[in-house]
Amino acid sequence: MHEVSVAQTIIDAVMNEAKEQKAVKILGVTLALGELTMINTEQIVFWIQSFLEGTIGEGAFVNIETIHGKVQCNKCNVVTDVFIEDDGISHYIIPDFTCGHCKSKNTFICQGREMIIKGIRIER
Amino acid sequence: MHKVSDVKIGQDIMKINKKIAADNNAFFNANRITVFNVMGAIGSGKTCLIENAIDRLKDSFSIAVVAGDVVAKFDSDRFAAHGVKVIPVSTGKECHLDAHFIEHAIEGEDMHNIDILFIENVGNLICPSDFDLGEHVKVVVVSVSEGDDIVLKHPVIFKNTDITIVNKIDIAEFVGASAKKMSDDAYTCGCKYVLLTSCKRGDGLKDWNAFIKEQVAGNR
Ligand SMILES: Nc1nc2c(ncn2[C@@H]2O[C@H](COP(=O)(O)OP(=O)(O)OP(=O)(O)O)[C@@H](O)[C@H]2O)c(=O)[nH]1
Ligand SMILES: [Mg+2]
Ligand SMILES: [Zn+2]
Ligand SMILES: [Zn+2]
Repeated sequence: MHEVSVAQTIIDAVMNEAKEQKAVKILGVTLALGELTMINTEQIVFWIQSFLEGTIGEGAFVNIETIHGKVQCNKCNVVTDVFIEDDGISHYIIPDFTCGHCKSKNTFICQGREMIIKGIRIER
Repeated sequence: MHKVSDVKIGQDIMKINKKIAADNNAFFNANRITVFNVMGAIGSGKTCLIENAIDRLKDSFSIAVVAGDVVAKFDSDRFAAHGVKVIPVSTGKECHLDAHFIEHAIEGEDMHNIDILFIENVGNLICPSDFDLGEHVKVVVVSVSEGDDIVLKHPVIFKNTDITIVNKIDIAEFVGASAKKMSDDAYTCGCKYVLLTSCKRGDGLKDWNAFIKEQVAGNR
């Protein structure tokens, strides 16, 4: 839902870095998004590319890597992957936070809520 | 000839929010304020539940409310009528509060006599879960009129929530929803405690009040 403002934050950081690097063109942007963030990847790509129109980044590729969700168990301490059921249509995720080791529900999310701007490809 | 190169940035934009949330939390602790982030579905009864808590608690505690909404005026007028300090935060097109909104809301406000701060978040079960505000207690409010599948459709926000309130149980039979199912689902998603309430009939409101007092006592 807030893809527009997230995209704006990313664009600000990207433009800043491009300027510092004295880039004449931005060829690409690579992000790593936690799969438990409420961010729709198709929308984020759309908004970033829209914001880049008319700038040195027009036409840049936007590459998105996924950071898998992990939970750590408060009972047995083991870290296991969050099982995610994807409905295949809207890619709206239905995660299961049960500990993969002892099946306890008493877990906390230790990975998968990141929104990382990994880097940019530029021409100088 | 232009040279192509890859430049590493490695910045987690969620960390910016986490950092500000930690600062807010430190401020609240320094001022001994217990903060409730009241999230939940649109129209589920967030304002009614906070109003009810204010009336029961205002003789014993000094209370303030941050009324966050796309247009904050309506809810902040309701809170102000209960004689508590209200800080309206209009988020405009933004669909959630973040730690930065809260940082600005409290700066310049005299907060050091406040015991309890309720933050009413923007009504939506999706993105508020991405943004910690620096609160001590996470509350999620849903009502039976959203349909009893609503919890399973939004499992992330119920994970690690301190309390889920299933409200409007007075109308459950008219909308054909099972409050019991919603409660079970919230526990399944990892919520720590669930209450069934009706702001109209009064069910569960004593327990809501007791929960708040317990949290304040535990935070001291
Ligand atoms: N029948 C019934 N109606 C309720 C109950 N609680 C709240 N309402 C009504 O539901 C409507 C919405 O209540 P609010 O407290 O404004 O809900 P909210 O979650 O703050 O709404 P937004 O801030 O707009 O998202 C109002 O008309 C309330 O009178 C309840 O327990 N039973
Ligand atoms: Mg409200
Ligand atoms: Zn375990
Ligand atoms: Zn949002």
